[in-house]
Amino acid sequence: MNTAPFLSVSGLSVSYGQIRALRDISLNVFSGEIVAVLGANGAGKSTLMKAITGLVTPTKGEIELDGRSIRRVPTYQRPGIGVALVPEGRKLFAPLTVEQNLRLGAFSLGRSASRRLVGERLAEVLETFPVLADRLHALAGELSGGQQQMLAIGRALMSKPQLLLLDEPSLGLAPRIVEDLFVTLLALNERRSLSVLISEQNIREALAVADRAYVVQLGKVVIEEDADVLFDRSDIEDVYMGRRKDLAD
Amino acid sequence: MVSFVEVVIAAASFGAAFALLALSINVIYSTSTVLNFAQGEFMMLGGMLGWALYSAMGLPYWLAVVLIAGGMGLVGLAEYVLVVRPLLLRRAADIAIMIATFGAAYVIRTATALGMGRVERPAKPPLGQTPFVIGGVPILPQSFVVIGITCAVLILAWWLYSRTTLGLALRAAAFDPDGAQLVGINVDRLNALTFAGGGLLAGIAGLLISPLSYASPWFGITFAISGFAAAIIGGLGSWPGAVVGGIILGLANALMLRYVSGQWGTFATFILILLVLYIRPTGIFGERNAAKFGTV
Repeated sequence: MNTAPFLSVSGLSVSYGQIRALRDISLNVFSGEIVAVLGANGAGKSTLMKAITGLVTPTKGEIELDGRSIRRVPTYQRPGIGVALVPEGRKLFAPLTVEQNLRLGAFSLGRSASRRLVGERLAEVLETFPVLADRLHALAGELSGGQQQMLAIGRALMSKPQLLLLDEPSLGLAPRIVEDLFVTLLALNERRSLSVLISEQNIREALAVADRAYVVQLGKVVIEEDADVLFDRSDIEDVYMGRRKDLAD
Repeated sequence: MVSFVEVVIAAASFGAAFALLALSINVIYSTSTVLNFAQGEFMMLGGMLGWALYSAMGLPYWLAVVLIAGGMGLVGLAEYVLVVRPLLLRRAADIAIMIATFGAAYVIRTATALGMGRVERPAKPPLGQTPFVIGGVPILPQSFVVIGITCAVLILAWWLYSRTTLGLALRAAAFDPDGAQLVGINVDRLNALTFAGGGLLAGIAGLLISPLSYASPWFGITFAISGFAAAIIGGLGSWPGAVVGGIILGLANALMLRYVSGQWGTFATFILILLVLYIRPTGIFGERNAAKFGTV
């Protein structure tokens, strides 16, 4: 593991009008790590993901990728520098086909990207998610929830990111499908040394694959810990549900 | 019977021009979700420039077409940069942006009237006034020009939206702007492009229709009403809808004009909109079919 983090978020605050969604959040993802951000609904997980991808503008703080500030890099340029988000609710292009969705995932490679390169990426993604290969010409909106999540991850992988962000990927999926999803993530992480930042409500599953975890409550980081240590803590559910108010203050 | 066929052909010509305008409205709306009420003025300005460049100054027709296409593209782009974009960046409400486009329409109308005169201008048709007679029915050559160019534009638009990466990006941005930015699509630039395209298409529609009516700085409002009516009847955002809406509107207008009276044309238009929306609130090809046809 490198000494300098690949992604470094420091002192980040985001407000929606009067509501302070993130308050002075700092976290790191080192190269090749899987880091989980845990927290209840409204804790600020999605806002954090949106800030890292530029969909919301921080009021304060810094976001650095590989030592360089990306705060002023517009959202559409971030996949080009190695950051891809699998957003909450997937945000697939429902009226387009599976193949069109995947090809758009390589949009950031630009016009200079050869057909062969895009073809290679496509083949890699289809190898990771063989189910999608059978449904290339189906509309994304016609897929099952599990397939849609695979497509969303596949689309993000098309730009060959160094850092994959996943915002609540298990939301609305059956437990067995969630399990498959996490196994796939582990494999991707190992095979391609892909760094992963994942936000989850499904804490046990997330902790089982993560190296480290941050617990977020009311827009603040309340715990930062190795995943296996946190996994063994008996009060983790309480912290996560916000029942232990003492930690938030 | 012959006069009925004549009316139908006149209707098809007007319908084709309205379809082109409805298409230009959809091009902008479906990517940026802005309803641009200046589109009618774009069409008016296209007609006025056509009169000025071709009829008054005597430039070759092809050159007039190229200049109007380029010039109206720039007018559309200017509206985006000066009026729409600043509001989009401040996350203004859709209704605020719509009202701002009314303002842009007013500016274009007034500037045209001041700069080019307040009177109606007779625009010269490029293929002359002598009608072809087919099966006893006299048909103005301009009808062929309007219908032909509209068909060509539709084929081009279909190819662009369904066969090119740019088209895919436009459809993706239309469906989910955030999702589009996340895969690397510069949605701001696409919006600018659609305003330029919308200006170009509406300008060409104006150029085409002016020899069949007149060119006048005051026609923009009527055009806007007809174009939006066509787009709404067909289903906002759908381009088969734009064509069908344009033709229905052209027919209703021409039939009322021929058999009842001119004033009833606009009346019929609104009754038609109400009837269609009453039966299908999303228009003929709206929403439900949008996925199947692709949303343009």
